[in-house]
Amino acid sequence: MSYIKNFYYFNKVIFQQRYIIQKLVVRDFKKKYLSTYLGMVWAFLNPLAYILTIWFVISIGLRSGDRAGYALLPWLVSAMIPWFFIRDALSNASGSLVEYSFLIKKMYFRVGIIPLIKLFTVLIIHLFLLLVLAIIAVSYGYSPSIYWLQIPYYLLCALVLMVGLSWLSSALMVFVRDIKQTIEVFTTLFFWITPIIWPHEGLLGKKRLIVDLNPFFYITNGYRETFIQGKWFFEQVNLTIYFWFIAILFFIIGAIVFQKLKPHFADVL
Amino acid sequence: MDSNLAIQVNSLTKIYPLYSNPKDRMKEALHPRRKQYHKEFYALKDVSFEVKKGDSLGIVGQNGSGKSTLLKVLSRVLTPTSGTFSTHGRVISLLELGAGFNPELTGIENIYFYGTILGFSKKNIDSKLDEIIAFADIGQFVYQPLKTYSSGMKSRLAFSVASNVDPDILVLDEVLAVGDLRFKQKCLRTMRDIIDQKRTVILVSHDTGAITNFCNKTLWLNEGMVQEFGPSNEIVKKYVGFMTYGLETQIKKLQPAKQVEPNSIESNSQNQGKSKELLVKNIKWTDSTKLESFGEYGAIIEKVALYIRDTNERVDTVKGGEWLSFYARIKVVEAIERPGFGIRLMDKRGNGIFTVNNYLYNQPIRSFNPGELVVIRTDFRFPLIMVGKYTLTIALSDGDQENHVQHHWIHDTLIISVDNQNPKFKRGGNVIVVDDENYSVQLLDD
Repeated sequence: MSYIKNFYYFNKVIFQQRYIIQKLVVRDFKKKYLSTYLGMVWAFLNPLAYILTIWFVISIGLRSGDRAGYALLPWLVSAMIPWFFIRDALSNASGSLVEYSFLIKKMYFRVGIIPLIKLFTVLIIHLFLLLVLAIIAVSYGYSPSIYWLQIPYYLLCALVLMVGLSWLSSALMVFVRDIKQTIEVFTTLFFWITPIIWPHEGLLGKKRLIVDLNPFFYITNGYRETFIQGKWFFEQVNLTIYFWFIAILFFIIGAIVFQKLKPHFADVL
Repeated sequence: MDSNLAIQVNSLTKIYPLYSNPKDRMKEALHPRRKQYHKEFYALKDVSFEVKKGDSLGIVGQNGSGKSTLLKVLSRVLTPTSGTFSTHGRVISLLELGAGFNPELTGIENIYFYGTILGFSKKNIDSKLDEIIAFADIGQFVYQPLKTYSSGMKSRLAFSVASNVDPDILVLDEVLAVGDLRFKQKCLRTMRDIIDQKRTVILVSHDTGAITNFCNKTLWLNEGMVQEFGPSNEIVKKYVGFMTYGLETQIKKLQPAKQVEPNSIESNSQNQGKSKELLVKNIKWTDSTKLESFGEYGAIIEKVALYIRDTNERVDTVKGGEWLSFYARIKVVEAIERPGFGIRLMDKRGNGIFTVNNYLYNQPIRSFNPGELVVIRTDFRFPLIMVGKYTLTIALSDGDQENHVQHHWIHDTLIISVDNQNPKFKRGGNVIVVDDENYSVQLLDD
């Protein structure tokens, strides 16, 4: 019960402190991009260069064309853009408490908000990239359909999963700085073992299970189904139930670990 | 908690684990049998005290004595290792210069930013904005990013936000140190208003004058423990003694003086004007052995007396401007090579008004021999100061002005009333304006 109460209270605080969150997100954004000549452009240049590289390797290097009847570029982009959100959210949020130690060490501040600030910053970029994704999809003939209504749903999936992981990783990072490197390894690994640049269709048995157990797959595949393949999320009931089980589990673990470690932050930072 | 209390602290302890190297922290975390690799450092040890509403608490102590840790715990930045505390109402803390401010934002944006962190809604801050800006009084800088501010401006802004958002308990850690005098006075007035409204101020400062002037209670922390807690002037006096000479002030009950004819030594700070000598045997002494004092006690000031120099009249009320003779009878225990004898006049808040001693006036006193009884006479002209009660603090030392051993320092040895019916001098007027020839005022034509 007390956790539910805490959860409600935390949401209230987020609402009350929206001015601070907004200011901190803007500050974070400015700090990240406005000190460079190209500014915001980098926020898009970086992922687009990545996508183009992968596209080049697959279509020119491996001489392989469309994927299961879908044009390669929109097929790639539709899964890579949600992946960038996951990757950036994890790598930015994990270092957030260390970066914002000035708010923790010298005053009483709702520390739980700090990882969310990073998450919101990444979310803003993600929303722009979603627009890019929509343009690419439309230009390849995948015109907006009723399936696009799922976009907020998958966005919510990604957010809930990432909030839990952000709390967990940022709290651990305060004590073990190796988390940063661990997350780099982890994201590289998951980029390749999640069916992002390769199709999951046709995998059977244990190999298919490895893919299905990966919660990130639910998100990347969900975006792809929304934009390109035209499928509803409730067509895969088992996967949906499994994903939400994992997402809520990580959310609760993240919240508990964060709560337990919070009293020590000001000591260690 | 008692409804009259603003803060109640029960055996608060804060332990920091100290590791000899970072690897030990990891080893300890991973050790299967939870072997301890750290030493424990007590930043706070069993600290208990209570502060009533409307009290102002000063906290003094050496660097590293746990003052800031205590404030951080009370502000809920740090979590105590053990012990409990409760605070009544909204606690607003200014722990460090510019803490909670965002250097990229302008002054006004920072008021909102900081105000929100303190837990206020935008509407609430809107209604206070003008007041805050007026109080901070930093002109056009409120529209500039905070990174262009001087440290004084930052502290002005921080203080005006913190004091204008109706704190129930205002916690200040040395924040006034960077403000200029006028702003400091303004802050003190605001703090007084807060106290008058039955709210509470906690002030950490190395400026013991500010503490005695402002705080009615003082907590002296030493190595994380409460050394003393009580009325400010008492505690600060002990603390100053401790800090200056590393000795604890104590109420010493010394042996009463034996009736031996003492040798008289005269130490004229201003050796001018002759008068008929007052014989030592005719001096009416006041015993000074039971007063609060500290020192090495290599020589003990047993008795004191204050006379008007020219009339040999014993006084405790002076007008100002007259020559006084201060007599001190000293029992020498150890040899004192280069004796120094000083008198300091203090106001009722413990601020020094002036000090005279034979080191400053370059008038050496012959060395004292063990077992000797000596009488020192100091003549000085009492300044024209504001009417009121003052005390004389006296000290006997060995060495020179820069470097000396304090043998006997007696706090508030004598109480002096300054009373002057002349309205020109009643309010203190001026030390320099002694005669009418020294002052004139006139209206000039255009």
